[in-house]
Amino acid sequence: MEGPIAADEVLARFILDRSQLRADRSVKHNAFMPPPSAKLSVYRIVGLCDPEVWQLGNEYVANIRGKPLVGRAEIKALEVTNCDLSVEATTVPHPRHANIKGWKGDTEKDRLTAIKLASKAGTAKLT
Amino acid sequence: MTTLIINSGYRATGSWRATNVARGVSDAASSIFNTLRSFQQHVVTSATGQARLAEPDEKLRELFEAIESEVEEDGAKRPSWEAYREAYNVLLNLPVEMPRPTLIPEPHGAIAFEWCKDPQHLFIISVNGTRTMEYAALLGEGDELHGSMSFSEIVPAPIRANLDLFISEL
Repeated sequence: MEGPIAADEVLARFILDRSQLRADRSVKHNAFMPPPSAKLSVYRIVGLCDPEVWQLGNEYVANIRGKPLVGRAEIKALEVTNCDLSVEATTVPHPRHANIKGWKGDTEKDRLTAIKLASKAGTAKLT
Repeated sequence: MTTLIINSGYRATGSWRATNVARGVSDAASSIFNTLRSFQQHVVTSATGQARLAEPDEKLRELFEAIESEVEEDGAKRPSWEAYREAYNVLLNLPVEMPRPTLIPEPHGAIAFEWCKDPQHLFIISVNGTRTMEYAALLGEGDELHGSMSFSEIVPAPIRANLDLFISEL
């Protein structure tokens, strides 16, 4: 997928671990905590219908990590940039892949940012 | 001032834990000690007390199983033995009246404790095995706090004060 990421573009964070969701399907902060690579993997899902989004998650996230897909959290790019982070489109492993970057490398601050992102993501969609 | 020289296992935080006891030598100290000891034994042997003492083991076991079933993403770390031990001690020393937190594994190997009213109102503390407790809270739109403190077994008083305030509004 080409072109810059628009502020109102929706990004999907695929969830493979039920412990990242509360009982009411709201998203916990650990779904948005950056891994040691400091690149939080998301997918640009604009223009895709629901089955196509799930197919993307299954083929390029769940199958690669060998776990079933549990759901997805959605967040607008604007919410990410409002947290002083950036979204960088990549073409690997899929043209719609992107990384959330710009983490501080300080778990105390990054945790608070992850909490904010999770709160903005609201309720996850389940498979 | 007798009570100041008694250590019956009751912590100032309102929690209970069996300890080796050093106590005063006066009759009053002995009497108070025996009363507290009797109460402690009652708590330990009661159904509620048993459940309370078994709870840290149960919560950590669930957390461990959840982590073991995960495939790590981008080098995410599992909690260290030290992190588990710190989490166990924090759980064990939480006041009995405090709502139980949800334990959450974090990708850099820390174990977080979450008290959540809703996604916009939550309080999280986190331990990682280095005797440093980090905390972060969302208390509504634009109202947030975060920080870290060194600690040993119990939640440090400044963090506890904020946590108590948050819980009182749940």
